[in-house]
Amino acid sequence: MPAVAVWTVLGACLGALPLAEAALPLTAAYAAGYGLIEAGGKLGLPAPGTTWQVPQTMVKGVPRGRRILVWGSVLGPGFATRNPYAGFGLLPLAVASAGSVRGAVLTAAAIGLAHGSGRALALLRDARPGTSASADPMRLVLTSMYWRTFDGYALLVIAGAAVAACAAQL
Amino acid sequence: MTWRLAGTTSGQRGAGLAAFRMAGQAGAVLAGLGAGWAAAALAGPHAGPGPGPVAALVGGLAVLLAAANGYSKAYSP
Repeated sequence: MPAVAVWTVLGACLGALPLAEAALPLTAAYAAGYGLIEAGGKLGLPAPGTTWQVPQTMVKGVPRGRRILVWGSVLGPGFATRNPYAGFGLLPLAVASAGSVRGAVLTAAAIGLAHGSGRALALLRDARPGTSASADPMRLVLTSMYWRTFDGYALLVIAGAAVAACAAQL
Repeated sequence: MTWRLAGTTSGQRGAGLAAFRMAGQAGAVLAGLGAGWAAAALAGPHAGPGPGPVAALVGGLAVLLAAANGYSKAYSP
């Protein structure tokens, strides 16, 4: 829910601004650039984002309800936490490319729901005994590499679609 | 993934792997272009302001990417 709310507000702001014409080429360029870096396994520009993570003091020794609220508010939207993959940086550009306030709000709400749900499922997955990062750090590193490659290929697909969208506008 | 092909050098195997990766990347871009072209063809002429149905395809793909992005982040206690 916090993810949907935050993203919906962002979508309303981005949709109200005349960004669609500039956002599509930017989406294509961003997706192509980071897609090639990540899919190729290269070291290049770091993914945009913050390295801030939720301090332990905010979740250790606090009531369960408050812990859930902290996790949901911070991790669900995805802005105020570490994003290791470049795909997250594409999402605001994709919202701005929607072309209308309604389209931007709907796209943003769907993105917020998808990201928040994915994050919640990941937390449930990693809460199982023996599946946390501390249980098998090497598996975590390998999994992270595979996800980075997947993110790269997904960005390349979106780059192709964004180029097609730009061509359709001409 | 290591391939041991008889009679090839490590340089040749590396070049082959690089070519395979490039082909995969090109295929991904072509898949996106094809999907965009198909969306434009199915939607027909778009009237009115705004990027249109192909931009909606970009938005839909972004939603899928958001779900994968959220699921891919490991929890570090």
